[in-house]
Amino acid sequence: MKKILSLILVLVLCLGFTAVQAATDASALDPTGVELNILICTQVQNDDLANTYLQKFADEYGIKLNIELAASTGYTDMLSLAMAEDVQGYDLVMVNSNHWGTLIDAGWIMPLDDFIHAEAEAGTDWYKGIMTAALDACVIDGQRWSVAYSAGVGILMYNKTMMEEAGIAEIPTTIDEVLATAAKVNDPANGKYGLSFRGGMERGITIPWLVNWLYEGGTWYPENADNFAIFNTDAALKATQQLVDMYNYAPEGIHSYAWQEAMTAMQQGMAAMWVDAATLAVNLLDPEQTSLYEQFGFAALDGVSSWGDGWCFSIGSGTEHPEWCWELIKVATSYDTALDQIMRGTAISCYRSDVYANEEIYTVLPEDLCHAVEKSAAMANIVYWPLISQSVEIATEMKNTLYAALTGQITPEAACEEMQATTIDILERDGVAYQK
Amino acid sequence: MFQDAIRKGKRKMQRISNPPQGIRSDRWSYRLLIWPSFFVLFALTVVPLFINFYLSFTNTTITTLNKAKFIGLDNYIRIFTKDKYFGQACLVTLKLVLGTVSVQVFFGMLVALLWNMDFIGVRACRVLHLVPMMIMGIVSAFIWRMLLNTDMGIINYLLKNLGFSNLNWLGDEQLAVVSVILVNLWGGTPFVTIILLTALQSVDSSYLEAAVIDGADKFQIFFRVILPIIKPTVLLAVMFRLMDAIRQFDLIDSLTYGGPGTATTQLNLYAYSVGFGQWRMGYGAALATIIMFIILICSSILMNQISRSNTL
Repeated sequence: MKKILSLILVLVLCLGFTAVQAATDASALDPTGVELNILICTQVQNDDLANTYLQKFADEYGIKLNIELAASTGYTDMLSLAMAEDVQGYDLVMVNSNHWGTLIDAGWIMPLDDFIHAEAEAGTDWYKGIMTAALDACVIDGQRWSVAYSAGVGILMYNKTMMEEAGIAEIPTTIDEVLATAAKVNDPANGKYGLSFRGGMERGITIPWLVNWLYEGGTWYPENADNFAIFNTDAALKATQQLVDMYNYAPEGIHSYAWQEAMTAMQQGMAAMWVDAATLAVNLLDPEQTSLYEQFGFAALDGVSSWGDGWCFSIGSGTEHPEWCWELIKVATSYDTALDQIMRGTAISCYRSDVYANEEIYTVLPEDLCHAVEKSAAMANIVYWPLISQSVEIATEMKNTLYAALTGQITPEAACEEMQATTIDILERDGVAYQK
Repeated sequence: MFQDAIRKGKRKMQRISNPPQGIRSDRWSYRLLIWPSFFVLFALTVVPLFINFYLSFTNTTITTLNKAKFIGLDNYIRIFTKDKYFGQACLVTLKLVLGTVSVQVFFGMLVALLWNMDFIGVRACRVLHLVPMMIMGIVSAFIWRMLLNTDMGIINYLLKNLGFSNLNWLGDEQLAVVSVILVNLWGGTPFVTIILLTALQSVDSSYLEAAVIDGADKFQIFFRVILPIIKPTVLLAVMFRLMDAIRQFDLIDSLTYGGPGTATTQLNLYAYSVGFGQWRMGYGAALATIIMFIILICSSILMNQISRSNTL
């Protein structure tokens, strides 16, 4: 009897496992028609897009969307694992400069040129209104792999009251002017600092460096070069020196600042200026998040190119419904969505020039912010990391070396030399060609 | 007489080696019932362990999952000869493990002694003391990150009001290590307390009464009577905390992200950032294998100590 009972128990357990597997398979074969898995990085603007516009589109056309809103922490890990060979868990994914290298190297996303050409040939309103920068967000070997959705272009956010109190009449338009202004405003004894920015937490320290570098004309892909330039340039040295200067005008705990802390320093009226993604300005304009919301001003910096934090859409190479994915991209980057999101206060910026032509948006957003975003977006360089799978390792090495320079352990010159040597070591180890 | 005893012994041996039908059937059932658990454990622990071990001899990256090459000991050689972060990570691990385990066991013992006393509200205190254990590591890390913020955190605000200067808790290399240990103290001590409290409550009161009759003071009772009795449990607590401290990840990742610089990047975080941040999975697997051996060595030493204590 016991023998029979134990056999039954083992059988039940085995059947239990089978049942779970069968249910999983059954859910993957939902008969309601097209079913798309979508991965989106959670942010106010992105969440709103997913829950409102994409869902509305799906309901209208009777397709099923499985949208996963994942936190930015660990997003890269999740994306890479989900898209890995033989898995291809998502049809449509939200990506940025950190991801393209790996995704394209591995062939996990598909080029979008055929879709874009079709739109261009048909002369659709969607194509006419979208900025070229959005379509050229990621171009490798003449092929376009993504369409930019949210334009976190770098702009200057500043506290008007603090500037006035320091006797600043002119708003800075270059990084050097920002530093000079920060020196005047900086008053640590009274808890007032010239600048706030992402400090040492995570790889955040590389962001202000990249802002400086791009403004100084740095680029991973210089013209007439086979591969990307690295740290042996005047732009890299200038950017490092500027970063060291920035730390002199920043709050004491800046080495542990991520963007949340940098944002809070602005919201608390502790820091006068912050050069970062325009999308973050939504927090500074929210009366529920800061009582200083009327004190903030916005401006675009002049420069060769502006840094851009572009969250873009790419289509997984393993999807069975690329055409539906493309339709969703068009919904996300359409005029109607862009305007509606701005009017509802869930988005600050977008990659559609036609939206900025509509003066209705000035009723909900400060005019200076709209102008700053429009100007910056038009010259944004979204490729702020090299499009190779070693980019995260290079960024990690940069972070560690820059920290040594900021704490006075090495000079900016030595930091650039070390970053150059380490990067070359990584590239040679993996057999990646580079510009000598 | 001896022959009777031998005969009885032989009969007993026969019964054991050739049990009656009912018992034989039971054994068969037990063995069968063990298989599902064994299979699950094998699939979830042993198989990944071997896969990890195999990966450590390859140059696998996320983009070359099916094209990875066997490179022998190259990853290990690179770790021990060229990797500038490995030695540093070992040192940070040592600092954090020693700091974390020692303060947790010390304070865990103090609190256990306190909760072992009989006073009004002791039960409520015991329950409240467990609250940190109920909070996820990542959540507590974010809370502490706000509390320890140099410029806007409440801890510096309180220190300032008490006349102290600002401390750069998470932005200074030395203080960041101290901060991780402090947060660990808050989150990990209740576990040690529970284990030690259970051990303290199981000490036979007759030993303590005898010691009092012999004129021992409180310190002598603790160090000469209680501590030797509960030593195996203390060592067990040390072993658990040691293993947790070596393989700690979520708290450091969210509190300092291994910074400032690499000041709090211990081995586990480093292995993770290499394996899952940079996607050099072969190299990350080699680092993980080294961590596994370190844990194995430490736990073997402690297990040996525990066995000895039990024997004594």
